[in-house]
Amino acid sequence: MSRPDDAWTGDVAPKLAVRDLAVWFGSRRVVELERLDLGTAEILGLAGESGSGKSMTALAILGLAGTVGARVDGSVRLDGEELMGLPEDHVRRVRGRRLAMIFQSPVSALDPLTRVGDLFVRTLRLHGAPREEARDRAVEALRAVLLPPELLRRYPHQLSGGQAQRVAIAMALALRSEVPLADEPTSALDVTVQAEILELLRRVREERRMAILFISHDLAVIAELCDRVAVMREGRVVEEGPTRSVLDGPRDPYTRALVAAVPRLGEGARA
Amino acid sequence: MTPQPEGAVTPPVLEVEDLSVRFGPVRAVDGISFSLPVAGSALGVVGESGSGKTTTARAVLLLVPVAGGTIRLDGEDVLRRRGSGLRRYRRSVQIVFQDPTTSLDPRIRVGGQIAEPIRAHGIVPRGRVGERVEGLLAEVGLDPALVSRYPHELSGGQRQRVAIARALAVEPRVLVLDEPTSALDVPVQARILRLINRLRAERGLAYLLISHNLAIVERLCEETAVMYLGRIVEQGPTRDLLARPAHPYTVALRSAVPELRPGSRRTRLVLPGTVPDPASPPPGCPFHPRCPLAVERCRSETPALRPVGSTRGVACHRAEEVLRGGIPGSAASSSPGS
Repeated sequence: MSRPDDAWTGDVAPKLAVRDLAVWFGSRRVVELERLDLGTAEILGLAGESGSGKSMTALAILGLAGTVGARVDGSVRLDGEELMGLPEDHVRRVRGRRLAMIFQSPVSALDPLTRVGDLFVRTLRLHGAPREEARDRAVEALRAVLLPPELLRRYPHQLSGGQAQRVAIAMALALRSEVPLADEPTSALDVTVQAEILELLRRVREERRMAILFISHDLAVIAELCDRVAVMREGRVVEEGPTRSVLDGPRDPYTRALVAAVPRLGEGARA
Repeated sequence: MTPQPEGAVTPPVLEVEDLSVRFGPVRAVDGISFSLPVAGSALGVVGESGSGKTTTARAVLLLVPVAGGTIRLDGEDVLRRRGSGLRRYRRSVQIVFQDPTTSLDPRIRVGGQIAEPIRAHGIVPRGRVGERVEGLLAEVGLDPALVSRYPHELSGGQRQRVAIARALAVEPRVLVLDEPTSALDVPVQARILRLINRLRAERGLAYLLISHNLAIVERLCEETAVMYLGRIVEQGPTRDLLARPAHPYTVALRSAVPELRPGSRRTRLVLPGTVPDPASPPPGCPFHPRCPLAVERCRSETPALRPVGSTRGVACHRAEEVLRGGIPGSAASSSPGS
């Protein structure tokens, strides 16, 4: 880890540094990442199709790959601290708080029998907040994502898709999460709601200096949000760089194909 | 085709007039009209969740009770049909759903999924069903050897191709496509859209495409209807409507489409709030609580869909201002298509 090219920009250490990450199902290696860095307040897009390994990468970073029967080796450092090989209870404290997962279908990710408010209190208390403070932090976080505090009394099924995704983001804020990992958080939403959520993510990054790993199959969504992009195919990163330069001049043929597939306004029927 | 007397105008393939659907007090679809004039026509119906676009699709398929209005296929009133006439209509209009994972029966092999409607409607003699199934698979770009696979053994794109093959199996005239690519990855979306477009030309199908994404609609449809809270708020040729939207809601939908070059976007209009509860729609223009141009008149007087120009219908009191650029960047800029 002392090679000069390990540094993120040369002078600032990365917030999250992934090195030689491999995810295995039995003898089959589904992810093979040499390096992936996420800087402070940076939004990194992880692009690729289903099966490219992008979600598996996120699970491995969170230390959750074991729950789907995968084996992981390599190094994942948060602020320089190695997360791999930590005792289970320590990992649990890091994931869910310092690293928080934001899923594609927030409604199904939330416990249907628990009111939103209780969910906040339960999760925040699990991570050490006193009950009264948990309530206040929930209200404050909802306000930050432009949701009324009344929402705390609702059950998940009483939320719209956009509201549920805002709740998931509010949870990451209430936990004072440092690196939320968002796995296709807008893919199930209308384009109008998607635009709002992207706006919200941009804002929380600015205000809270959060680093975000944003996973999507849609390069246009990544273009709207991400500073840098890493394109994954068959478990490997085939191209990585600043979003603008990758999308304007993709060097890898697979990246070119992904760019070409994006539906664009103003091109008319062309098939 | 119904033979036409000399000089008579051929009726539209599908014509929907003043269609309404109610769920209790909710006017899910509130008096909308549109048509698919000829074989090969494609109309896009675009709007957010709660706009009534999916209910419209279901009403056209007679999957929900129609509260009012008419639906005509080749000029014949469909809602009065019973028995074999109704059966003929159901065969003529087929649907492809958003999620092929749930629209295909998980226990039935691909071959059986497609053979079932062929047998039910007696499309070909029993001995030739297998051959027809294989022909359909080839037509949608699948290896005919997939007949013996189960849906879960296929990719999302392959499953959607099977769903399309099954819809084509009964030789429909009209295909209703309800968000046919929303559950798929972008590269798969692009391939499915190309397939859908090719089939339209080859089979002379008329399409009703339901989507929340104007960029998808633009790829397939020369005509677009924008729905909000059960009504059509703007309708016209897609290219023109995208280049010069006349309704603020169309401006917002267009600006919400994610773009590879966000910097070149001319308008950024993010709407506050969500579609109101259709059980208690706001008074006046249903869009006014979210509209950046709303004035007093909009809060009291519901705008009717009225012609603006020769090809456009718009339900907005201030459509002329929107066309002139009343919302920054919404007009007065060159057509993106030219």
